[in-house]
Amino acid sequence: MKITLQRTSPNYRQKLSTHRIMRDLTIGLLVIVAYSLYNLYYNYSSNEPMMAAALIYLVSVGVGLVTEVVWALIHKENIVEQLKNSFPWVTSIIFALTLPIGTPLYVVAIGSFISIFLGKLVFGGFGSNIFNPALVGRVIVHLSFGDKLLPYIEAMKPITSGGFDITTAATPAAALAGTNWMGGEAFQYTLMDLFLGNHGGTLGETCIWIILLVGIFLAVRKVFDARIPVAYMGTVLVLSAVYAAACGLDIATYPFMQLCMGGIVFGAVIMATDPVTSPTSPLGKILFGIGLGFLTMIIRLKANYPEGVLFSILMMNMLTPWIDSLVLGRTNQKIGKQVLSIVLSLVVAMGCVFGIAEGVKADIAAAKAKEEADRIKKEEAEKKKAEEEANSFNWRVLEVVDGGYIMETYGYGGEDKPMKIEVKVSQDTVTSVKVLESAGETEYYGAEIIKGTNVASEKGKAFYDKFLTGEFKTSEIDGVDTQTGATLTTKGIVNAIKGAIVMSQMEREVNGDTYIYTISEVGYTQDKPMKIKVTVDKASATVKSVEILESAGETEYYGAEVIKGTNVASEKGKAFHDQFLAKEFAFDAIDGVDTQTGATMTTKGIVSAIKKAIAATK
Amino acid sequence: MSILSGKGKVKLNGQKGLTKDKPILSIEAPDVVYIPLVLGMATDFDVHVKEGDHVCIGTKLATRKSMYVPIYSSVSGTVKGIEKRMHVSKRLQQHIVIENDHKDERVKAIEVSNPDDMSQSEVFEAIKELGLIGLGGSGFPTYIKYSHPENIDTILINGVECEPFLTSDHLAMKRDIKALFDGTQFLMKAADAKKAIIAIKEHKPDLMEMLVEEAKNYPSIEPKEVPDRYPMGWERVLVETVFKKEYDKLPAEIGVIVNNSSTAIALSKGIRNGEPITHRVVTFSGNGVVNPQNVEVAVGTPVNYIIEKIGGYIEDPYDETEGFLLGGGPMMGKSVMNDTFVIYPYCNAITVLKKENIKPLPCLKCGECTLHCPAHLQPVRIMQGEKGANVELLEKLEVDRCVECGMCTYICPSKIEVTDMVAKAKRRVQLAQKRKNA
Repeated sequence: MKITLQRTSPNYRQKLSTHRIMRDLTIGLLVIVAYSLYNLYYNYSSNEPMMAAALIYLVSVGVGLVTEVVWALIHKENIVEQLKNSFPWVTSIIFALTLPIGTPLYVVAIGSFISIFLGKLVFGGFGSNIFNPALVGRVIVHLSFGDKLLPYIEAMKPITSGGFDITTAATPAAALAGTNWMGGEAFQYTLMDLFLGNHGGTLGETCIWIILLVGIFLAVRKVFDARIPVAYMGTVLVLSAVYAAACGLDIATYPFMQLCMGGIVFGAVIMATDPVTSPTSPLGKILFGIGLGFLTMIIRLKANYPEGVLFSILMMNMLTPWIDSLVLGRTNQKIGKQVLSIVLSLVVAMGCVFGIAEGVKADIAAAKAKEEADRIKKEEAEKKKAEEEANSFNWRVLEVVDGGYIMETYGYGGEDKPMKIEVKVSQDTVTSVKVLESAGETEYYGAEIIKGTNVASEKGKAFYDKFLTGEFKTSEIDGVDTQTGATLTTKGIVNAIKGAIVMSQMEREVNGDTYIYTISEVGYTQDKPMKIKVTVDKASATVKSVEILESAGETEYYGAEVIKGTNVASEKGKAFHDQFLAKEFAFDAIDGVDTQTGATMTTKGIVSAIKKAIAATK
Repeated sequence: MSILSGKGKVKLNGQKGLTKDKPILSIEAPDVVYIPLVLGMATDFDVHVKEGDHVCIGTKLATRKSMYVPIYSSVSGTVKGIEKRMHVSKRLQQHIVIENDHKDERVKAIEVSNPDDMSQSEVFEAIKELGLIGLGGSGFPTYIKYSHPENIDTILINGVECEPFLTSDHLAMKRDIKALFDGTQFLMKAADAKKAIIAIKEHKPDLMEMLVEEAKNYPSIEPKEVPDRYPMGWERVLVETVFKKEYDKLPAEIGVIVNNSSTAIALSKGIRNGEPITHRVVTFSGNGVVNPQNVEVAVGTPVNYIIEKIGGYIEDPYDETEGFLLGGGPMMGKSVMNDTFVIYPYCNAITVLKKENIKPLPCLKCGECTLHCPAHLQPVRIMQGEKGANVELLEKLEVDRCVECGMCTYICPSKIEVTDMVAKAKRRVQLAQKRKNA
């Protein structure tokens, strides 16, 4: 033996080497790959999903290897050495495992190339990259080809034959996101479902128990430091528990459901633990894990983005050098300070999640309140409309005068002392309104409005100025505000005016007790009103006949059927026809009739015309 | 909490089985011995003999100037002069050349009339005059530890021997067990300590049995087992394991003084028989020697003489194997370029290893070095600081606390020479501080 000099010491090494680490990692990944293929084979009658997945893996690894080989050739390095020391297949397999099954192969190829080239080689190769290389590829593919990353195979569009097609249902994370992360009836997955992985998602992320087993194996073999995945998953559990507590969900199961969805376990065990891109010190690793948990939960809950794992890992990769630079000195000194930093970051994270939970609750409450307010508003509007409708026939024609009518309506004085108002209408203008008798309207109130004195309220004076002094268009009386401080009086005057307008729009023939009206009424089509002839007998207070002269705007199968009384109309429609269009009926039979016949607008139009005719006859 | 501070230890393959069960081979001193005029880094010696002088085993040859350490002759014969020779420190150093007359005439270094009745200062003087140094490999003058003992209540005897391959302390303890306890008692006297603990690694039932048996005669001395980890033999790790207390610079801060087991044995022999350190047990092991075993040799014996006597290096008939010769164990031993250097008083092993082709990979920042550093430093960050020549960062990382135990290189999966980088960083910081203070 020749004695030579070895400048450095020590000269003893442990057996664990980087090659062994990467080899064990590859084995773990292949277990997950094998399971994913088996799962696809088992759940489908055809081999197509399994072949699709296998192709994705092959293309990814193949492109990765080719990229490395080309790089080695360009840099005139030994190809075998390059491949042996750069471990491209690990990155490619991880990248493939993050893709959904419907990813087109060209997207896989581009992504794999980007992972190896932009994610690792340009930084200086193995050991020099800042970001997790597989995630670099995944994120770029996500942003550039997002809509092509389908959770199902295009050629195998949904099979609607019962059963649960795992590739086409929304992923559990997306489903839960839709319920503001609160679950409830909309979310149908149980914890066992999630644990076993019988649902859609990317190729590698669904089967939780396999990933956990592989993770334990890799931690024991010292492939990675268990501190990172434990801190990551632990923080997710803690923050989910805070969210559950704040929102009243089940604290026992909710955190675990959050953990088992959306690739957290896969990300924690396979991607976050990449030693090159995570801090070196034990405290740094724990803070890294906490930061990951915090970011993932924030992205999920606040940005409502189901797949927060990718981005949170990349963001924490960015912060790794900073975390390293914070943890200086010896690792067993200032234990108090170290523990404090861990506790503080957890507390801050919990506080933020709590705040978000409160915010979400407030949002939900606000949305509910708005819904309630909207509903009330709608109810009130409908009530008002019904009231108005009812009121539109609260008038009587006493006399027909030159250019108008003398109407009788009820004001404050009610039925005992009705008002007598002369309203003259010409085409679309009300030319004059004169209150002839108003004994029932009190001083200081209605009387002032009628006289237009300054004693009336402002609104009342305005009403007088507008409607009792000059001319106004017929359309202006619609929706007028009758809250003048003398509401009943005002309402009475408005009814008179409205009645006069209605009268002016009808043709009336009087033959003793028989009044024949020809009324133009809008039904289904706004610009094609119906022309209805109503024959009324004043003496017997009956409507003798209702004839629909024109009904071009009423559609077949609907209004037209009601008018014709065919069997095609709905039951209610036929009943309406039989009761009101086919025979005579008493005046009060039309009150409160149900217009929901399936051709409501037509029916409402007919009813309106009948009511006008009745009112005009009384 | 090892969650935050890492384990700081590792179980490694000790390979003690190669030499543990073989008897100590006593090798006669060669015709010429060379006594090195070196102690650690110090070479300032007052030489008391000149060419032509006749000396016996135990004659004082020289004394170190900066700290009083006398060195004695290990053979009887004639002084031939002083010559420069390769030393384990990888430099040519001064050696006193003595021609052996093979008569083995002895002379006492010190004379103690009342060994069982000595006062504290008497023991102290004995330690000083015997030239007792740390025989566990440090070579640190023992009397310094006992010069101002205050509030010392325990003497810790370090029989751990955590370096792989080494079994010299183990066999020496078994052979001289009475001297071990006797020496321990003297040390207790020197520090005025109430009790002593003899620490050995677990899984050594033969030694433990003997210790427990002998301890029956010494009520204040307790044998204790510690876990079989590297570097349990480092003072700091051992004290923290046994006493569960941390100290900053010296174990005396918590009332403990640590000494190697062979040092205690040498003290006993010195006080009882007047023997200075002239011979010692050395483990010759490794995969580069044909017959690894322990030998007892005279100080100043050249290594190549011993190698020949025990069967030589391994030879491959087809290939010229290259190997290293380490003064010490594989973890902390430094390689010497040839085997002409001599056994020095604080040498406890010579390890011969075959050269292995180890290709380092890029650092994957796994943090294993940080988890296992016994001083709880962060070697990977120190490496980054050294590569960037960042003295400020290195100072913040407290690189001066590194003892170059070799754990970081041992544990690195990428087979990077981390310890070397840390050592370089240490020099860089020392240089910078010297410049600052200059």
